[in-house]
Amino acid sequence: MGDIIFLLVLLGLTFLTGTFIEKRHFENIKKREIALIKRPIINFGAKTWHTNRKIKKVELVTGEVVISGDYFKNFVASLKNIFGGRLTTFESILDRGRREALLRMREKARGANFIINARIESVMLNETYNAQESVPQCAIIAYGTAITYE
Amino acid sequence: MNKNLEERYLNVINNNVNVGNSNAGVEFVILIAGLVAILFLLYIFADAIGCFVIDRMSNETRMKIENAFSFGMKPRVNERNNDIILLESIKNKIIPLDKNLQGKSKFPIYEIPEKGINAFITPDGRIFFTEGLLNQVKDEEMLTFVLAHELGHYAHRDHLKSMSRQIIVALISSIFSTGNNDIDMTIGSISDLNGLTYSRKQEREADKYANRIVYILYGNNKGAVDFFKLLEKKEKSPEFFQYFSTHPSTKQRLKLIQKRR
Repeated sequence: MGDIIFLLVLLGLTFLTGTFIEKRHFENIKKREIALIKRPIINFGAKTWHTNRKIKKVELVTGEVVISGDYFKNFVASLKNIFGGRLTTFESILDRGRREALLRMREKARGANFIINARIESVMLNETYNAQESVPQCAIIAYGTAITYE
Repeated sequence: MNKNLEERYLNVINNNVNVGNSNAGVEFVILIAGLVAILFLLYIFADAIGCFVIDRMSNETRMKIENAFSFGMKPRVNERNNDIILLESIKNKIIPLDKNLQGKSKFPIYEIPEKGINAFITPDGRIFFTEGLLNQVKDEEMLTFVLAHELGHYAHRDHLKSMSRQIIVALISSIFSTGNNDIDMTIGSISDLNGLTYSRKQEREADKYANRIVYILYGNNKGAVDFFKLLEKKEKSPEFFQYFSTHPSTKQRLKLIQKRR
């Protein structure tokens, strides 16, 4: 009996803290995205890129995020293992991670005019061993080439 | 043109389509309800199979299983011969009343050194009375009720039934176990609660059975009512506690007994 009470308390607590933290994170992301809305422009497609203007600086910019769900989110997701369906609790995690990574990359390239050949990659960090026991963790890396005109 | 583009970007930032709108808490409640429903159906299925098989089991098979499952409790040598002799004589009055009790176990009665008021029967039909119960209950009608309650468990084959449903459900739930500790724990806890509900149902059935026996023997159920009143005096835990316990609350049991005439 003690087990289930402990579990319920833990779930309730992590639900509250998780919701609070996620809400704050989203607000933070929105604020930063709006601040960065003009610059630098990101280009995801072109392999080759031409310009007639003189270039001052070319550099690699990266943004990395390692993100994990909270206890409640993981619990709901593992319940979904039985019933199937969209893992909505992980969707928000992934969205947060991706936007945060892109933001970090763009913040690194502050002052640049363009980021060309930007790419996003993701890696599961805990897949190799004992994946059942540990928390699902996801690393998201955004990288590109920042170009600054003279 | 540029203005339009900016507005579109702002729109994308504010209305995120990548995240579901559903509330995680609501989702959690729905999923747990689904899990409970599945387990509930599973238990109905297990009950049906268990009762079907056990009610049709021959006596030899039944006794073989019961002997295999009985725990090897070493009873203390009986010092209070008077009590045991009284109980034996009551037992000999009860057994001719029910065909289910005849020709099976001999129902030996033992006393165990324990302070609380309790009595229980092992699957193979050995009955144990605690020292506390024998000290505090001297009335023959009350003892008859307790003894008939324990024999009722045996007559209804309650041990086998609760064991069989646990085995069947454990077997099936191990198939759709996800290997996740939390989920296994949740399933285990739901099963525990369900098992407690089932146990309370069995206790009520045994109470009714014992009540019937007391009526046949004495023409009234004063012994049963007295016994529960005694228990009520000793009991301190609040009423809602019964949902986490193997027995219904004494108040409810008293009500059940008083209602039946």
